[in-house]
Amino acid sequence: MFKNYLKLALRVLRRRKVFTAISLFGISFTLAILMLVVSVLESELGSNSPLSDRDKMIFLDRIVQKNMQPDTTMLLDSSLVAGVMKYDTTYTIGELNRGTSISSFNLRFLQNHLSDIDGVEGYSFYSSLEQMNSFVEDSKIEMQIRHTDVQFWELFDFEFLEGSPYNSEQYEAEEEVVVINDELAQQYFGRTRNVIGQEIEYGGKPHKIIGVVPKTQQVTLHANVYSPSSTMNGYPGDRDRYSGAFTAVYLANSKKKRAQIQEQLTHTATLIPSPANSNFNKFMLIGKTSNELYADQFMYSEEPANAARKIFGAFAALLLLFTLLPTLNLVNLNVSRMLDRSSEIGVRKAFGALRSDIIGQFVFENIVLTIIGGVIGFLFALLLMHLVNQAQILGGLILKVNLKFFLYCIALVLFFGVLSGLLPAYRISKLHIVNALKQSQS
Amino acid sequence: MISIQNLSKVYRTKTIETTALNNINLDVKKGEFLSIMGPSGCGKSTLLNIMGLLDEPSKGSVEIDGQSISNYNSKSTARFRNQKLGFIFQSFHLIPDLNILDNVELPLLYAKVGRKERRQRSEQALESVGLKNRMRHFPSQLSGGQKQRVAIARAIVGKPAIILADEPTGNLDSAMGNEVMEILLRLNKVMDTTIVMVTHDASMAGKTNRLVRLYDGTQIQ
Ligand SMILES: Nc1ncnc2c1ncn2[C@@H]1O[C@H](COP(=O)(O)OP(=O)(O)O)[C@@H](O)[C@H]1O
Ligand SMILES: [Mg+2]
Repeated sequence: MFKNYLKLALRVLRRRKVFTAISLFGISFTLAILMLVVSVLESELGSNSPLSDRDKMIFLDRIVQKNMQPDTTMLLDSSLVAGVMKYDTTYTIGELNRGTSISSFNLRFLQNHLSDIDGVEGYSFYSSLEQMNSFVEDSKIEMQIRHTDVQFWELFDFEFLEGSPYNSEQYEAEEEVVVINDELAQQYFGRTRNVIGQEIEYGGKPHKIIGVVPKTQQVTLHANVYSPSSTMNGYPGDRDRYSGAFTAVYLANSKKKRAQIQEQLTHTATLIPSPANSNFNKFMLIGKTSNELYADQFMYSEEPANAARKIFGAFAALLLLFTLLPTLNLVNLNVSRMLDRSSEIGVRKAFGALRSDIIGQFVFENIVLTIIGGVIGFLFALLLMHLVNQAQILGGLILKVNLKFFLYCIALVLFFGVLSGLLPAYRISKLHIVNALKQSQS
Repeated sequence: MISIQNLSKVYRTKTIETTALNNINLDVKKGEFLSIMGPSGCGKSTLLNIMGLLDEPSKGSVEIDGQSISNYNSKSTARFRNQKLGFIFQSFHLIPDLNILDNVELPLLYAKVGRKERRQRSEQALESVGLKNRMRHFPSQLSGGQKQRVAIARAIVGKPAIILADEPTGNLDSAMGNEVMEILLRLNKVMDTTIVMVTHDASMAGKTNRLVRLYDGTQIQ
């Protein structure tokens, strides 16, 4: 049966060249764009190295400090009652926020208050980027340094191109060792390998390279130098006892555990004492999933889940719109194409085809068409991805083709094929036999 | 074989109501070759379509092969058509994108007959209409007479008890028309297939067992 359908489908496509060309153009163009979007999303949000465990992580990147003061408001009401002026006063007692500070953490604060969280499999504290310049043969190289602990390398699965991360002994001994990325190795040494044991200089000190990792696309983890946070000269960005440059990340052993960890963070927030010389007396610790952390780049909110919902909702709506418009277009094209074949539909039904047979046949034909369009679209998407990579738009994001991306594309093609075929096929299958047969054909 | 009682068919549109058939009573016996004649628009096709379970009567009952038909849109009606009925149309209605063999196979496809048997029976049916040598051709490569013979092969490939033919020679010149008529007559004689045929041609009707005349939706003979 399928062989018959396939033969028929290919012949119909060959016979109606103009229709086929128009459809294929629309389908392949749409699919190419969607594939590009999928590729971007997969690079940004997929569970890929070094964030393979992203679904099990909670990021704590901010402490919100508030100065809450009791507040009394007085409301004076006057009214004329029976020719006499009457005054009513109402007092409302509440709390007024007289100041908010939002910042990332001081490392010592994290170590003192937030290293003992139940139910986590691991945690790490790492800093935001510290910029320093280094000069090699008169050209300036910008160092972007991230200070991390040892666990950082366990939680985030960087693929080491060579060497290895620093271990606890090196960390405790405050050794000036660093892991760099391949981009810096290229800039500094003109090669990406064989740099272990070499030194790079910044901050007036040499640092020995012990590992090289590929440049990561993840904004939260990106750096070209990773160095042990024990070697920091003081704590950059430390303004007071609480705020600083550090973020904490916790690894839960399941998605469910994440809720528990958040509860503990909320509880811990109530135990934090007010720092000396400060009016801050209320603290909020809001753990974020990696998706929420991602959404946070676009829209800061004290309720990250909310922000993430809005951001991803907007993404999904856009994606849906971009899929829906061409789908509707194809549906229209399909209906008129199928109506052209109403004589065939009438004959098939007269000789015993069920509605489901008709639907199956036309959906199948449409899937054949979308698969052809999908192959063209895939090639087109590869080209687009190459151009995006070359042009370094999207913030230097490098789009990669991997098996997961390929499978997503196949799913996308089939989904699109069924979606754009089902509706017209359903409509056409309702055609009354006698009316269908009125169309005279060979 | 076919028993029709008090059959009426009314087409209603928003503005007008057309009575296509008015209280028809008709019995067709097994193995009979019946022809229906009448002026254009008198309801011949409507009657044939209702006999073929392609259309639904407004009133009255239809019984085919001892089975009274109630739901015209059900799976069982589709299966019934597939197994008991074969159709021949004035304008052939071959599927242009399928070759002759695949066109003839169509009823067997929906009867879920296996590939090999389908092929064999279709070739046989094509042979009986003298077109086995054309089975790889497409409909557009055949003459009108040949197309109608292919349509006959398609109608008989499932060995139906009844064949319904709506002006099968209407689009053909007399030589080709006669050829088609010969095949139908032979089919009726050899296979004992019941045939109901609508025609405009008195000489064709003269070759059949019985003639029914319609006028304005009413049976007058
Ligand atoms: N789908 C329809 N809607 C409205 N009127 C119809 C429809 N089909 C047929 N008719 C009308 O019913 C009458 C009988 O039509 P038909 O059976 O096709 O006639 P014949 O085949 O004898 O030429 C005609 O008057 C025709 O206009
Ligand atoms: Mg007619």
